[in-house]
Amino acid sequence: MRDWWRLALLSPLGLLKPSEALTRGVNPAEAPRYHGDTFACAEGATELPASSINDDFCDCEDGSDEPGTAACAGRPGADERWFYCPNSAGTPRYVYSSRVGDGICDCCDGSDEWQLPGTCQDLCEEQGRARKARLEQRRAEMERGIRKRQAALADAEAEVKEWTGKLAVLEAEEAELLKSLQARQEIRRQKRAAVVKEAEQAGREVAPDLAPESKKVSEYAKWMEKGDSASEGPGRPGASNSEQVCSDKVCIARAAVARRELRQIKVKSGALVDFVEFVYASGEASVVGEGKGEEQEPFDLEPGEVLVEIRGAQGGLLDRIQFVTSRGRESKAYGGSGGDSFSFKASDGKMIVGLRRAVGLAGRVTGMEEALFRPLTPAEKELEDAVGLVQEAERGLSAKAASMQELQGKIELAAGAHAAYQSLNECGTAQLGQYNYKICPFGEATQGHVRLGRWKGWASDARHVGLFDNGERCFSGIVRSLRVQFECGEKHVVETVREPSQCVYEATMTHPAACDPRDFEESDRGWTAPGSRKENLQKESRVLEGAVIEADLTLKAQPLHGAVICRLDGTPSQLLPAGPGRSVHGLPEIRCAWAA
Amino acid sequence: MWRALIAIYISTGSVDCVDRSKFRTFEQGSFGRRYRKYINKVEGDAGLVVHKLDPSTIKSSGNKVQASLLFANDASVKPLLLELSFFLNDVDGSCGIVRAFVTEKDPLHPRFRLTPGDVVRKDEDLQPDQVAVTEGAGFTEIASTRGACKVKLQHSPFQLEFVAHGRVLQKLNSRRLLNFERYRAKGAQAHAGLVDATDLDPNNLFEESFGGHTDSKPRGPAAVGVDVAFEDAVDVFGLAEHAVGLGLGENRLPEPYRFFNLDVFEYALDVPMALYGAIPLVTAIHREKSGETVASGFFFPNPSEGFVHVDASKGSPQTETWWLFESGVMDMFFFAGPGPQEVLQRYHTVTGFPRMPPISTLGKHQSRWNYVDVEDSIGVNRKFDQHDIPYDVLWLDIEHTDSKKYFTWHPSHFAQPDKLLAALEASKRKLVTIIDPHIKKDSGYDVYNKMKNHDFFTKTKDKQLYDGWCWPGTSSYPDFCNPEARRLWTTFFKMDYYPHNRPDLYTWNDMNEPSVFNGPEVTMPRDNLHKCSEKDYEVEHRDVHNVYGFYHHMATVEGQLVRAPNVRPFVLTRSFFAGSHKHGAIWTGDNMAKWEHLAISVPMLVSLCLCGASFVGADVPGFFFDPEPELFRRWHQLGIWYPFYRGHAHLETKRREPWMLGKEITENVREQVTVRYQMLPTWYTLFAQWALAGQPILRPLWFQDAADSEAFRHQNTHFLLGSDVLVRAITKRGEDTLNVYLPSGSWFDFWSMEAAPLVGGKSHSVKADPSHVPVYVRAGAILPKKMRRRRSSLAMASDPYTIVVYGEKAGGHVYMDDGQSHDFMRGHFVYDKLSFDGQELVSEPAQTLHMAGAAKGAAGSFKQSTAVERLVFVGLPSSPVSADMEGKETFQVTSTRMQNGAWVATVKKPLCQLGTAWKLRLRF
Repeated sequence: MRDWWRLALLSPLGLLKPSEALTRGVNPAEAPRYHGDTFACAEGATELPASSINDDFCDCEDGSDEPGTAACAGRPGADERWFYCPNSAGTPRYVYSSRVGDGICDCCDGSDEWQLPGTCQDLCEEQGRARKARLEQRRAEMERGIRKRQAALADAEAEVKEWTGKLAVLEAEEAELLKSLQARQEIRRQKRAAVVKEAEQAGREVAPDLAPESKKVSEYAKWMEKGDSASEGPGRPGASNSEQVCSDKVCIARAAVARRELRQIKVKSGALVDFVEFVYASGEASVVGEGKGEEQEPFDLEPGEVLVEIRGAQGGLLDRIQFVTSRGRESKAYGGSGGDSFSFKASDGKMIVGLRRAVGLAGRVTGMEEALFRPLTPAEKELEDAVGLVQEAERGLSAKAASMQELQGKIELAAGAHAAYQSLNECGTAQLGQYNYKICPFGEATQGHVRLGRWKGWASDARHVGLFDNGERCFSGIVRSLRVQFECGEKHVVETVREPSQCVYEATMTHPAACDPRDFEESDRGWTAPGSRKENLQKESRVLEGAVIEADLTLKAQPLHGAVICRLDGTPSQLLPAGPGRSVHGLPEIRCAWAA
Repeated sequence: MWRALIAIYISTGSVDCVDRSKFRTFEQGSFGRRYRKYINKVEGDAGLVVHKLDPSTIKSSGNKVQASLLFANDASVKPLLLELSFFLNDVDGSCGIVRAFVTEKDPLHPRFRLTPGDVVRKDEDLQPDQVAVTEGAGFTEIASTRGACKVKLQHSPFQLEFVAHGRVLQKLNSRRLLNFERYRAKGAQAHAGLVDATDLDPNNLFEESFGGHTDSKPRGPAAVGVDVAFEDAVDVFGLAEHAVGLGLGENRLPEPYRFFNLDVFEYALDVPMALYGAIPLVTAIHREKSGETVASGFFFPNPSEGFVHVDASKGSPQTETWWLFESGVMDMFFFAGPGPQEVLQRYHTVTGFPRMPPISTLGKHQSRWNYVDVEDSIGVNRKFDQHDIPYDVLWLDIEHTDSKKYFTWHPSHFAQPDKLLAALEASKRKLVTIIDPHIKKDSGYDVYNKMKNHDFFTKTKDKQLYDGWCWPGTSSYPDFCNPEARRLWTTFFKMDYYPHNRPDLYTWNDMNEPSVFNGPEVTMPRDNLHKCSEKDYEVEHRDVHNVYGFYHHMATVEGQLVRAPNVRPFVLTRSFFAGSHKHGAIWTGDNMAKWEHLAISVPMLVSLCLCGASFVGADVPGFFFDPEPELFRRWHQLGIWYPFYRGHAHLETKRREPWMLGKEITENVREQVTVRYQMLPTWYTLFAQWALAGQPILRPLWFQDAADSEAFRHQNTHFLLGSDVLVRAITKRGEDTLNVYLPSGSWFDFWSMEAAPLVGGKSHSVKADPSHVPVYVRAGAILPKKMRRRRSSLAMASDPYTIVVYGEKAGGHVYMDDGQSHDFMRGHFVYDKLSFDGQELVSEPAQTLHMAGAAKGAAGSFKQSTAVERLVFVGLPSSPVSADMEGKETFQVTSTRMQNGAWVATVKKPLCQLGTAWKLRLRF
């Protein structure tokens, strides 16, 4: 009996003619079990007389003796037993045993209320007609959506081909760059060894700013913007070799960093000093400060001239700053007149190459960066050059990696499960109730002027569900978020938006990318109800979950206690959670998928 | 239902705790402050006499005795009037109800007295107990002519002893703390000697302030106070509602218990602060040296602000209490026992018997602030069906209205409530809408206009319309003390007034302390004015504060009765007073999703049940905050054992319907809710025994045997459902072994028919099952059940019964009626007594329940199945071979073995009907 489902087809109702009372509520596939003179609750269990079947008394723990009554409803072991509605003028389906004889019509043919004659009418045909009309309409819409999606997928495929080609080129280039980097690193190692040896022989320390790996100025500047207090704590670049120095009431840190050749200092200031920008010979710049000060005349350094002193005044903010060079030249005093004055000179043999400041508008100076100034020995000069070359190679490599990553991301999106969403990307809008909604996949979702969330990604627990988070904060402090169920449709239309709990939104939106033809083909082939959960368990070595599957053009089911299994010609679908599906005629839609 | 608005107000305070500074302590009010001085003065002077009874003034007639109490230290002060009345217990006609009424003669302002028939029944509706008066040397004895109940009045100093069951149970004024502050004119001459507490502290008699609000107190001081000693009693209970342990003396709180109905945001536990309701009733268990116990009760229904100090000092054999109220009269009741059950019978005799609720309201309730709209609500209803989880009542909180105008619907979200009502009706379920007392000040709002045009709103001290802030913004507060205002209120429930109304559209009365966001202590000023009778506005809010919610609730119930006289009303209230049990259900307000709040629900609910209010529950799984999954499931496991079982949630919480926390929890909740419904016949029988005979539904562990002193030690975690089902709450996270104390006898595991019974009279260490709390059934019990899971209670109407008999000798009852109408009052009910002697199970009509009157129950007079499909005998020593009905029809019996070798025998389809007499014999 491997293929119980096929058996159901081979055993037409008419052939068996079981007593109606004994097989009431029984799926025809199961009927033979109820034909004997005796009945066993389970294989090997004590035989009961056939009169125990459907006698409105629960004899079996699993409820199998009462397929047609509610006598076993509520027994913990009988949760797998359902009442089978033949719905001869419509589609057979299962209902919970608890529905039988409660005076409420659940089967469209009213067969669940057989104990209360006259309670229900047979509405299957009528309901079936109406449903069919609705389904036909939906089918046409779905077909248009599927065509759109397929076209988009074809475009995406071409693009993916092109991108894949580009990626291969980039990969080859990357390999070359890597080789070059390794060679330059080796040279640097040799040069550093030479410098160390030379220093040892001369009996002096290795210049600290030649020993460490150099930092990228731009990254460092970025890091500086992060925090005020943090900028003075341990763990910052160069902090290990920084020291505290004071000038009158002002104390700052003096940190040793790598050599940089300073060319120009640009300042923006008013009554306070907002921006200070150090421009280096390499073309890079380090910007410290914040604010809107006016741009001042820059201070240029001549070749060979370096910065050896900063003067100024500050309290909580930097009021004034002035720069003094190795040649005794003084810049203009930028800024205003408040604050405690200070003057910091570079240490012996060093020059000032950078500033550190507290964050915020015109943040005070918290440190100055020094680098070796004495003329370099030839070996040191060679090391400096070698370090520069390594840095250059590293920059090239990381730029390459970034472009590859970008391309890979594009390919993944275009070839992945949600490929069509990329190429058919469009915002959906709707006016629902008093609000205008706009949902942009990969962008933002808004309700009027209120942001419900920013695109976060696809849900892992359901198909065609996009998540938005980090919306605007609610009055109560909850941050708004949105879950969007995309449904097959030709256009991008927001259909429903709900707020089931405060500031947690759920929406449905039509999107042609949700028109997966597999869903459609499956639904086109028709469905039938599965046998009991228990039987499935015996036939399949996998845990199946409860399901009530309605045979219909679309896939509709009542999710029971968690998940749903669908079958087609005996092949079980993937196990899918009974997530909050779309509601069709009051029943949530369940999708079942098969491996190709 | 405290809301975000207020969360903002006090957000400077701690996040998860009440801002206590908003609420007055005992000595922050002037009448408390001076009473403290009075106590100190009297206790420091053993010879001081303030009040003495003038024996020459004693007059008696029928069941009443009157006398004058003179002020010993100032002969110019008019004496007080003392009136004693004796009544009989309505249930069994025994003596033991004494009412002691004390007021001033010819007061400057009328002293407020509750309208007879509202909280306390009218004298003429009670059965008088004729008395005989005997004069003694320095005392007078007044004795019942019906039994051994008497009162001994000591003349000087005045003292009253209440005697019954051959012993002095209570002493009134034995500590001479009687303080009666007569109304006086401002600037009146001081007393010649000590007359009352104002003589010791003349401050703030005519004005006082608290928290930026000034109470004008135009009538001056009017407090009344007295001490009551419970002789040989260390265990005293009652004084609901406080978030404290059950034993009032054990709590050892520094402050007296406060009664002042308030909307306390995120209330604190184990403090004597006032909460939403007040039932000034104490039940004491008096213990003889022999270990024998007798119970008695003391009831002081004064609706002004009150304080009750309970002192059960260690080592002292008695409990001393004192009671102080801000105004009004001293109207006190002494109740005899012998057991706590008889105390409650007397309490119900005086305050009235409870209202029998519709059976649907004993099922599961599903609420949330707020189901968003009609579609959401219908979706929730459908989801219950999809998950096969039974429930009965869906609730709509304030957002369902149009701008918080009650009796209206939100114009877009609830534009089509008929769709929801139809969906609920199709699944045989009910809807509750919220109707709060504050009425939005809006000239386009008909309820407001009608109330205003009739001048039925509460007034300020200057007789202007009082405005306060609540959900709708500026609101007015109907004067529910006014019977005419209540009458108008009832008309809003008429079918043609309230749109989309149904005869069984039920109601939720919230915020009725009343809650006023901008008022003193979040309620209305004490100098506001009410018109409680024909006369002009002359009752101050201070006089009636604690009955505002009571009257709101009462008027709402009457509204439902006006709408459909033969449909049982259902109204849930947050605020309540003694007697609110006559109207409907009560819940413990805005609790939190915290383990401590789960734990405190046990003593809070049991305490309410001991105060006559058994239709009670706590919100599951806590109103504020999101519960952790373990708390969620444990609270539902406990909640199925609450008389009122409602799931509810604050606006800012995540959705928490039973299916929202994963499959495992969904299944657990389904199973547990199924058990609630399977026990519905037992619940319904208990509700009938409560409503019709005053028997509490939840009972403290010692209720059936107060001599079991060990049982008192477990009363905050264990309770009884009826007399025979014991529930042990799991109150802590991760508790895997539990101590379960079982009173004497033998106890069967409710969850397992196979488990060997446990021996009672001791504690057992049991493993905590993840799927339920420990529940045991007393050997000797018979429980009626219906085993089939359905959508709702009404969908169970045609289902047959299963009768479970525990032990070799057992007895029990089953009550049934149509579950919905008042036809049971005309005899349309079944009340059967079932008894089993080891061989024969006998069904016969039980003694008629008290209030059901002379009409005897008749089966078949209502549409309910009376059939029994199954009899289960648990714990038989041997296995029966068959069963027959008095030797006639024979029925199939199947037996299974228990772990202790005993048997569980199941008789299949014994073809018997409840409501008829039959005898079923087991053949061994």
